[in-house]
Amino acid sequence: MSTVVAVTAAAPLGGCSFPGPLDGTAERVTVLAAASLTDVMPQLVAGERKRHPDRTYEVSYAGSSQIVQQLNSGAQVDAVVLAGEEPLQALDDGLDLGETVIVATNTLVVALAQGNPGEIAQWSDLGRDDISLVVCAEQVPCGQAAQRVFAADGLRPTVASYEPDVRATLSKVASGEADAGVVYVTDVTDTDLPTLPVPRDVAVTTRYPAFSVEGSMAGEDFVSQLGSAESRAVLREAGFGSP
Amino acid sequence: MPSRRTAGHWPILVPAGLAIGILLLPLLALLLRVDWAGLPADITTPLARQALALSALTTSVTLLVVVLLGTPLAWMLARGAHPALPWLRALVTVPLVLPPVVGGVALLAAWGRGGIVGAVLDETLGITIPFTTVAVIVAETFVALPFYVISVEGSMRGLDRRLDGIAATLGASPLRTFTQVVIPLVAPGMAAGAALAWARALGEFGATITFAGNFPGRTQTVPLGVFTALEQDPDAAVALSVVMLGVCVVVLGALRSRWRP
Repeated sequence: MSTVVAVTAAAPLGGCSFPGPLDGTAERVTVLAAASLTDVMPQLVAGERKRHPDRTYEVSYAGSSQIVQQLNSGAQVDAVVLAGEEPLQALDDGLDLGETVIVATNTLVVALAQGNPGEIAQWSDLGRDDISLVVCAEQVPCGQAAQRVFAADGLRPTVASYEPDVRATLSKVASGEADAGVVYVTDVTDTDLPTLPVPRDVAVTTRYPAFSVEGSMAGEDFVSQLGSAESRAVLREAGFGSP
Repeated sequence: MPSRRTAGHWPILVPAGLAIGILLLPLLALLLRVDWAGLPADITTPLARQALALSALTTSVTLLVVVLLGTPLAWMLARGAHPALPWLRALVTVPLVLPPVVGGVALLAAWGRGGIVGAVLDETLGITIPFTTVAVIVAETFVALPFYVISVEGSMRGLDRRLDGIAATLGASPLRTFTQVVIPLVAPGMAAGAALAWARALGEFGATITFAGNFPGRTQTVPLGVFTALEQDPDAAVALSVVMLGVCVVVLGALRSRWRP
């Protein structure tokens, strides 16, 4: 009996749909973006907001594999931008997703702690035992790219920690807790941290796929706008490559 | 048809029923999601084995530290008369309510390479605590110690003070009184407090991942392992989660009659 009471009390709540037009004029558009887009996404969204003043954009950042996990668990979003193509394979087949468009590319760089306490002068120094190196976890595109680079080079670095996303990796280096961290070139553009480039012959390029979810019109507009010349210019200025 | 006696109880039963539902539904759902046939394989993957072994090690050491340091502190709080003690008790309880990630940031500020003590350790002895198993133990102790202290202090306060006097008149030193009179009497409270503190240490995530990092076999405890597995191998994540659930149910079930120390 109490279950019946509980269910009937909860039923009206199920009738509400979040998110939805609140007063009929502002449409809420939710975007899930890879952590490496933290700095550039506000600019892209600002441009989009000018084109569609009746829409409000909310962006949430996480590691690409975590975004995929959220989608599989039923997160209500309009558009998604990931930092790599491998996480796409973990997407549920039953999801209604728009066409995937590659909107940017990125390459890796080694960020060094302020003042370079680890005295890392060259790429091979990363193999030393006495430095603390942080990289992204294997399931995130940044981590996969780092593993590919190390494998191509034959380097076996001593990793101190596998961080959940590239921004967590960067913050460990920026705070001085780690001597070095493998991040994207775009992550260090706004910082004044010393960097070490990845050798050209082992450098790896990651591609950023974007797609809309559940046939969202606003999401599709957002994704197609990401491929425009204007967005590409913004991305290029932030250090991303063109697809 | 509800009898007259139960009819008046609905205001209690309905919210209580909802509360039970909120608490038990996720646990039931977890059990239903497990691939029972694949469970043995899922919990013997390298990730699971390393996480379980590391958690067993760190929580054991944490428990030892917590009991050795927490018991005297609890005694001091229970029996001391200094006016600052109520403030001390409040401060000791802070890690209990602090969000674990905030705890991790605080631990970095103290023990990290740029931290108050950590910087000194790094420069003079070349010791860095973050990214090591010691860091895991430090993080777990930070969150578990208040649980133990508050729990044991409660049972110490309930002790009859006259027993101290009796022991003294029989010639016992304060230390002997403590070890041979007080400890045996508060042992059930200590056991309950220790179990709670151990369970808290086992479940610690936010402070661990922020302060100690995430490395299999060295700092990737079971909660961090589940977090990682969720994106790498969801079946292993669910399997590990069920193991954790089983361990917690066993510990808390053994405690059920001793909830109130």
